[in-house]
Amino acid sequence: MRLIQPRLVLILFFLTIWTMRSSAQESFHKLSLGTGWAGSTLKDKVISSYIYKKNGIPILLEYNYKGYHSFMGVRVYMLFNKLKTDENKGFAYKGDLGNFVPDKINGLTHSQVSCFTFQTRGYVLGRIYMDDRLSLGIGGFVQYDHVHKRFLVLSYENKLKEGFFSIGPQLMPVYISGPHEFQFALSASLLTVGARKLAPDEGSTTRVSGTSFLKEYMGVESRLTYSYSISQTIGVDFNYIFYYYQYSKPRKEQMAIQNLTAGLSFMF
Amino acid sequence: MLLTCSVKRFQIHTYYYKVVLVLFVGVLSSCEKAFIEPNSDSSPEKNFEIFWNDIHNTYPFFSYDQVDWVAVYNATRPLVNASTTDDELFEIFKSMLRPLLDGHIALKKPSGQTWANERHYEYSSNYSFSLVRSRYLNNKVYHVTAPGYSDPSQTDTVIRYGFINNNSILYFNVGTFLTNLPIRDTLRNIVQRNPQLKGIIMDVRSNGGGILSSAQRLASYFTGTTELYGYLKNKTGPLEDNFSESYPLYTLGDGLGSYGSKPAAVLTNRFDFSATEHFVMAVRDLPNVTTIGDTTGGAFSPVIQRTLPNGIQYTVVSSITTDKHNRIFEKTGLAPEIYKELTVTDFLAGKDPLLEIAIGKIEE
Repeated sequence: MRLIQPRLVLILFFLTIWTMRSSAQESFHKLSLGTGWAGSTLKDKVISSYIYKKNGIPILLEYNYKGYHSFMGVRVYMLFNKLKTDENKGFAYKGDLGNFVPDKINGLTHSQVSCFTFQTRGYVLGRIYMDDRLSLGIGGFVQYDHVHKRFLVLSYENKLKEGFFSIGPQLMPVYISGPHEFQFALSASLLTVGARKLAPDEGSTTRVSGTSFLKEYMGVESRLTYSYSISQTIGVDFNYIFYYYQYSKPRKEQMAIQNLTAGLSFMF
Repeated sequence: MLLTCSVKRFQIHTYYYKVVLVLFVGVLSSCEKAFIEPNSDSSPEKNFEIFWNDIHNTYPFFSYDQVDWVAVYNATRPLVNASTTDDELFEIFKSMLRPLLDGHIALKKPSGQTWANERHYEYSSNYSFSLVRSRYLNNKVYHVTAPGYSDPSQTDTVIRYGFINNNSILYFNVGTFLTNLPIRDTLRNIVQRNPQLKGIIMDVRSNGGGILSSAQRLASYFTGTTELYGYLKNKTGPLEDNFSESYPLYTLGDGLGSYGSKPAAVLTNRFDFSATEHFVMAVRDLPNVTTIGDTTGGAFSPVIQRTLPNGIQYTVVSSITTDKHNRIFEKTGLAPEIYKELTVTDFLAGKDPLLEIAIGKIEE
């Protein structure tokens, strides 16, 4: 199955440009780059039902636009880390007869899952004013997730590639007062088109794909952002982002990532 | 006044947002546990989960054995809890493994107590070396020994051989392939020193196997060169069709001379396993070789061993071996060309019918 996300991301991009051009005067663009801490938890039944954990350093690149009638933005998120479990501590692929499977292959042990997460999200929200400082954005998002995992089963290094394109509603209250801005965004995927390219040795069907409406795939994101404008053009952003997703085909897998990031932003 | 009011309003809003922030971070920090249910901390349950999952990933014959391993999980998992002792767990593992019919399945406690599947116990070995020695070799037996493979301080008798019918037939018994002794070279030397030989009786009855390459080298003496005799593919994951590509199995020839086209008989029984079966598989199709006796044990795939965190060890297989025609003989074993038993009546009469047939075939 060929994923359609690049076309939709392009449409979103042009929609963003069009809205920017037609917006009212009280608007600004912001480009921000941030990094910090990300705590990942993965529960995967590929090897077994172990829970793998690891802290990592995420990279967050974001463009957003705040217009008089709308909010919109595009975000790119990347995280690479080697998740680890101690639930199989003491287990060995050896015994009195000798060692049957190497303890380490290509830098991986049997207690690790190497994981790379790439995420692109775009959102478009209508803006409703609650008062002169507080407004509420209501709209939707599109998101593409690419997750690439490496792990060992016996002596084989397996590579799982997963791609998900999701659409869902987003709610975002925004409070702006002078140089301070607080923003909370809550979103959940409704419709997901996904493809999981399984390890070649995971069977004859090495690719699983399909469309899910709140069933095989579920993703939730909750985000809190505080921004402070140092000047008209430069500011700082602090984010707490909680992201959770799960899917059930061909087996249930869950992942939660908590991020605390800080970064520089440029307004224009 | 307006400014004060505005500042105050901002402070209230800021305070409100700070409270929300703290609550938000606090709630979401524990959200992860709400979304992802933690696994049990109990040691017996962890050992069970590792054991079940590893065999789920490893064992290649679930469909062949007609065992639903998930159903086994559902039936046995409720029996394990935090208070389950290691001895109880051992018994539960036994009950789980019993339906898996591969000949390499075994369990071992840290104390040394072992368990293996009982499926072969019902068969007769059709073998008595004392009968062979007294009746056919005139009590003239040569022993070839080597340092023990597992314990070099011990001495293992690997080969016993002698001559039948005025030195015209070599009786060559290989007791094990678990040795560093060059069995092929030993056999070649004996044959070269005895040009009068009409044929060889290779007795591998009750040979439990050992080092695969040792069996492949011995087989090459009969095949004459490096020759394909089968394929092996490894299990690589939990799904039924999670296998690597098949890779070929060859006899390991050295180009230093082979047995040739003189007749040879290979005596087999139900207690032939693993490397021994590879030897039989490699030579059984040769036109000058006749296999006589009972079907082999049916455990071709290399054994692998695991140790659980609680110290219990287990052996399983993770591959499927086929012959060069892609036929699986796991569990069923290799049937002999001539099926023959050694009955109690035969024993009491001082006869080994397998050996009698072998002598007759060579004398033909």
